[in-house]
Amino acid sequence: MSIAEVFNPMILLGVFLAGGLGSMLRVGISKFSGYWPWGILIGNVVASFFAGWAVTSFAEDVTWVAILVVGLAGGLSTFSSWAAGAVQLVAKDRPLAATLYTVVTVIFSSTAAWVGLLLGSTLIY
Amino acid sequence: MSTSKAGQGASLIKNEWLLIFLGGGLGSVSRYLLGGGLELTLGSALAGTLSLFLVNVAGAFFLGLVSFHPRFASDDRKTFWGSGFAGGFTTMSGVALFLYQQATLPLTAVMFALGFLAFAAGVRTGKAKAGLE
Repeated sequence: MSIAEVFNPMILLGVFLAGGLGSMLRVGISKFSGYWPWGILIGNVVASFFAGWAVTSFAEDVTWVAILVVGLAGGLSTFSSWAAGAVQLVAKDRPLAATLYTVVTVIFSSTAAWVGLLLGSTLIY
Repeated sequence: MSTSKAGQGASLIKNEWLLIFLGGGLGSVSRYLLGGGLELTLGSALAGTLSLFLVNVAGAFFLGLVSFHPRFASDDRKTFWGSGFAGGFTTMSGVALFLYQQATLPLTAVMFALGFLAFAAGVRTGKAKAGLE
């Protein structure tokens, strides 16, 4: 990326709006929680799929990749809430649940990104 | 803190969802600028990995801090800085793309270990400030 691209006001505004929207979706879905923080997990997996799809579908367009991948998918997904969930499970004496939650998060998120990348690179619009 | 001018100003915004939107937007733009800034100075190969580590580990520490630090005691501040900013600043989809594109599972494992410790350290720091430990 060039300096002009990084500091493009339209991209900054787009990332702000999309990141805000993604964050509202994340908090909304995070209310769904039980044995694990399911909502956070689902948000992370969906965001990873979407990021994979968008990064290949809009490969030529820096603006849309920034808005959809960095903004929307980045706002919907979260690492800090994963850390909070894992630490809280360990604090409740459930280290196995914390480990499984982490492994499932990594495997499902990266698989979802892979499926998204595949879909984005094979579909012709 | 709640009686200060800044506290009163922050509490004027009552809508929880607006705070999440604004905090999440700010967090996302900050992550974008950090990534872009590092890319301009270090080149894209190193910047991608470094910025992902920085946002996620620092963001995990910050969320732990916000949960207990007396400065973030009000609901509005917890919502804006915790649910909004820390959540928007950190990213899991970035980790997923990174894992797929770089295929470096050991490095990812290090990030998760550091993120876990960073959140716990943030909680500890916040509790110490609040006089809880």
